[in-house]
Amino acid sequence: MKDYKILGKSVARIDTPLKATGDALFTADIKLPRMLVGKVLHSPHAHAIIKNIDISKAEKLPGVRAVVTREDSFDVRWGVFKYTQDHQLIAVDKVRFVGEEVAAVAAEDEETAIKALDLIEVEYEILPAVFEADEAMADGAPLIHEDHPNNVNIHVNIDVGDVEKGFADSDYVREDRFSSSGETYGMLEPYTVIADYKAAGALEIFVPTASPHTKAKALSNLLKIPLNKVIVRRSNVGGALGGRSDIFPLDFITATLSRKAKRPVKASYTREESMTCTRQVHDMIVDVKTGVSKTGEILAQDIKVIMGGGGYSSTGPIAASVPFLVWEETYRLPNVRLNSYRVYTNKPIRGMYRCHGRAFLGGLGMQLDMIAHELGIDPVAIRLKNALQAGEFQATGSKIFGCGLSEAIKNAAEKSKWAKKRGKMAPGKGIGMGANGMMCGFPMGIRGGSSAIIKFNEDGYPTILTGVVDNGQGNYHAMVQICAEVLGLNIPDIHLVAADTEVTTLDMGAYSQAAVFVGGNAVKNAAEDARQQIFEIAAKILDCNADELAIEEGKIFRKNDKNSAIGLHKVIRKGLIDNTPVIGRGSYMPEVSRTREWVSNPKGQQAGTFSFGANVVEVDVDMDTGEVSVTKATGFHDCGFPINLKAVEGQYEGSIASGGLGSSLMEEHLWKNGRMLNPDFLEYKMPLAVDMPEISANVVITDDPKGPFGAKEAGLFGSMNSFQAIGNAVFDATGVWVKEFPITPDKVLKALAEKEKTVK
Amino acid sequence: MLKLPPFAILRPRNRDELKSAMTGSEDEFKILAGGTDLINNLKKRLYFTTSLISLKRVEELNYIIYDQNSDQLKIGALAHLTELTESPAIMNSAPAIAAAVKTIAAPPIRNRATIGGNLCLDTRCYYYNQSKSWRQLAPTCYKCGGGVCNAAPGAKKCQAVFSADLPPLLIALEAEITITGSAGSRTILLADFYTGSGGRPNILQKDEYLSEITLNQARKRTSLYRKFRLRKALDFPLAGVALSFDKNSSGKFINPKVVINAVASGPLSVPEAAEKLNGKEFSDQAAIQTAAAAAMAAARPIANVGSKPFYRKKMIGLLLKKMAAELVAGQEA
Ligand SMILES: Cc1cc2nc3c(=O)[nH]c(=O)nc-3n(C[C@H](O)[C@H](O)[C@H](O)COP(=O)(O)OP(=O)(O)OC[C@H]3O[C@@H](n4cnc5c(N)ncnc54)[C@H](O)[C@@H]3O)c2cc1C
Ligand code: SF4
Repeated sequence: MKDYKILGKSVARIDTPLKATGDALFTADIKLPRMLVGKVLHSPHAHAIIKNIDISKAEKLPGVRAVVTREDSFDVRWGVFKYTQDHQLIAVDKVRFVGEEVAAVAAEDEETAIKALDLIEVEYEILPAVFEADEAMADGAPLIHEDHPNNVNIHVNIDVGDVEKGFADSDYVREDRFSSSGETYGMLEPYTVIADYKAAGALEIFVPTASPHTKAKALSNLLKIPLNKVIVRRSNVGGALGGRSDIFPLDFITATLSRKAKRPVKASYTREESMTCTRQVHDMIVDVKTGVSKTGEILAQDIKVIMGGGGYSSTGPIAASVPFLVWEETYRLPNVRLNSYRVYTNKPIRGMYRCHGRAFLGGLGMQLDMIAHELGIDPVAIRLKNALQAGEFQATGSKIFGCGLSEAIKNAAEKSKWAKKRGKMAPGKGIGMGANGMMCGFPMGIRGGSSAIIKFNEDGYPTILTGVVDNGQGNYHAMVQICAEVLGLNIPDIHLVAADTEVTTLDMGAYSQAAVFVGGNAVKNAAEDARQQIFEIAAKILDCNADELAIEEGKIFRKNDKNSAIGLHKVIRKGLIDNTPVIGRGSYMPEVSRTREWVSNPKGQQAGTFSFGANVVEVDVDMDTGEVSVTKATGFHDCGFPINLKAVEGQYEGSIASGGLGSSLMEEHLWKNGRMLNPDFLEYKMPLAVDMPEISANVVITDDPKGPFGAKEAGLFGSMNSFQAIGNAVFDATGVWVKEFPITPDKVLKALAEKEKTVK
Repeated sequence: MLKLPPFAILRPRNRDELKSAMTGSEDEFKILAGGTDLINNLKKRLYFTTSLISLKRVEELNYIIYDQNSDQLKIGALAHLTELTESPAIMNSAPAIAAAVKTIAAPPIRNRATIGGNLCLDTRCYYYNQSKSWRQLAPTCYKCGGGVCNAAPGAKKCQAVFSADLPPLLIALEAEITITGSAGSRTILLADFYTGSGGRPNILQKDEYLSEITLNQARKRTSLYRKFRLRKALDFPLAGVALSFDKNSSGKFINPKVVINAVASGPLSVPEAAEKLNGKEFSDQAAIQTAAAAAMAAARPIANVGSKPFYRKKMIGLLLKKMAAELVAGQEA
């Protein structure tokens, strides 16, 4: 590992003291003068026509300042893509899921707002509803959007090579079906919006978001306010996990309430509302047929996916594609076909998730082990055989730059003592592996890049302005570290202004694993630009050429003469007096295909670079009850270069909690007639500290040629491949495959009983 | 975040004040002990209560006393769960209580929660334990004063699940409780306290409270409690089994009792299961198998809390078998 002064170490983050002491303000903590309380009325029906809404009684209730309904819808529709604009952010003609926003009030206090909701009378005509994706796709199912036959919202078709020939050439072919229930993101922070519609026509909004600039653009379009007048403020974000990137009805509704009431409004969702009325995670059915050679080389794969998308599109085209993209980023797939259908259902809206695709990635990764088992190949060997290498191209045409996938697989196997354990542990104990690649910075048009500015005060201390947002993963600290390294300063010397659309420049947000890769490159470029300006000014003072200079500890000196040092503040002041103020400016746009499109043209470079990782887990299965506990997890992550080692380790720990124990073993939605039965943290089972295994987090350093200081994505390898690692470990422990996620004890027990039957 | 509804609160300082507070109150009131369940339920607006009577200052109700001579263990209703895990009186008499307490919730909750609150805990159901606005999205069910059951559509009454962990064990230990009311006190078997009805799980009248729990022969019996939950802490039981029998060194179940939990609207004694074990060795697989089958047959779980009803039923049998296996292992050790 290269030795830097600031980078690559384990350091406490700049936001740690605030969060540890409770001083960090989250949106719900913020109070504006004269602020009202907003509350939303939700649909009790999964599918119904709204015949009439009577708000007259609610409006008359003393203390009520505004009521909004479909009359205030602006007749606009939200969709992440032009061709997916299907969502009116307050229901107009129909409701499409239990929980959909139908009306809202702003009142002086919460009790009054709740009372007012009780006074709103909505008349519905109930329509037949459909909840499961495969049923929704069947002929004759009720149509949720009339213009989408068979309720197909998005169909992504990818066909590479000659799949039929690949199967014909194969020595072994198998087909399996995997499925998973929907999931919940489980951010700790309840979704809250504060909107202040100002008399001058500007909208100020505080909201937990993973992409403030995207949020601003959407609100500008929907509310018809110029973009420079939509001010999305930075506040701390209590978890995003992929579920804070989109635009939600509450954003629009709170802004509309504020516009009507002419006062700031805060609307805070309850846990139940947070879990059902922002975004949920897709349920999924995956049918996969795979053909391999005798030696385990993948020769053909035909994959059909059906995803339950809920009532509206959200990030549909992306969601329909990403599990496949992650798979093609991992293994060589000479002949592969994907038919991925995202289907409308009468369930809440489903979006992107940091563990999106457990049935897909868990399923395909388990099938790989099934094949290995049939052919007598070690699961590590079959992964190494098919693992992509640097310089190779993925199935849909993306080039791989730095790649430590094989190294990660080997290291994880070695450190976990795989060879001594696999197939050799006591009954009920097992070990399993998962691996994956991960895109960093995918095509998002003008929104795919980032730019940054670094300004200096006359005392020599700089301020970074960047659109990068931190949802808890440590992005802010990474920006400061990068700037400090380039400018030869220390962390406390630097001030950061981030994620505030009034002052920061366009950035994609913490999306597609791009913050450090894209935003970090922009900050690095800005810092280098500032350093160059500093050297040019200092060269005049020190009477030398700019390229003879170095900067360290706030001092600039000739490389060959440390005694020549002058303070940075002197250089900054000279710049000011000479009318050449130092303002660093930098930007970065990942080199992705400009013609690639999610549905119409899924070909070409799909991301600026790719990270990789492998993960080995050990499980203990109670053979009587089927209860599974994960005892150990050993991960190796090719994150290029760890800007902050502790943060990288933390990401792996989080991945093992959510993608690992949570997604693999416990998390599932429970429903009755489209109503979620467990929208709370007691009944929706997310792992607790006591459930967590012993964790060994490690990195593989590849110094990515594209990343800032060689860094790339650092969060998603454990969360995207633990499903397969755990599923495979359960097989090693029990001899049974459980193909439905989550792998709950009842399913393990059923599988064991079935196995016993067939043995008898 | 959910907010508490407006309410009045009385804070009597002793049992006399408590009595007058309870008899003097015209409004519908609720007794507040640790509040770990009640406060959540109030936020969800499960009760129409407008006033609370807090036991917090009635220190007289907070005690754990074991008298070695009489072998009597007395626990005041206000004893906190954490105290039960640390009390020498319990460890010297019926340590299984401490072990069972450790399966409840998590340490911060146990620091506040009381044994009285645990014994008087309301039943639970997915359709019921939700906030008012969310609950209102489904028809009003029996437990909220309506005329349907959302969890079991044809059901004639509420099927909410009894979810407190201590009652089954205490019933297996033949605990008695003292109920104090305006007319004085009465002592009954804990087993008789529960109605088995999801709507109203115990027999307490409006002017009564639970004051004491008594084990008359605390050391006489060996007892165990095991529960099934999906995570290693915090979760309410999805199935539970308490087993007790006369203490002996013969490795046999003498006068056993089996009480199953969280698979009906009350804790259920299953004498049919106990009978199968009576006089049998801990290692008698056939006896344990038939007892497990009898316990399972008594379980009536429905889909209104986590996991699957078939599995919860199965777990009743499996938990009983596990306990027997542990007893065998303990003997060998
Ligand atoms: C996250 C979480 C997890 C939990 N997990 C478990 C679990 O695993 N197992 C379990 O058993 N419980 C669990 N609980 C429930 C609860 O914490 C315990 O049952 C606790 O013992 C209740 O005691 P309390 O003193 O807090 O009762 P309170 O909340 O104060 O009262 C509960 C009920 O009992 C009544 N009451 C209290 N004391 C008396 C009295 N002396 N006389 C008459 N009525 C009275 C109250 O009016 C109220 O109706 C959990 C709670 C939470 C929040
Ligand atoms: S069991 Fe039925 S009646 Fe009882 S709380 Fe649940 S839904 Fe209501």
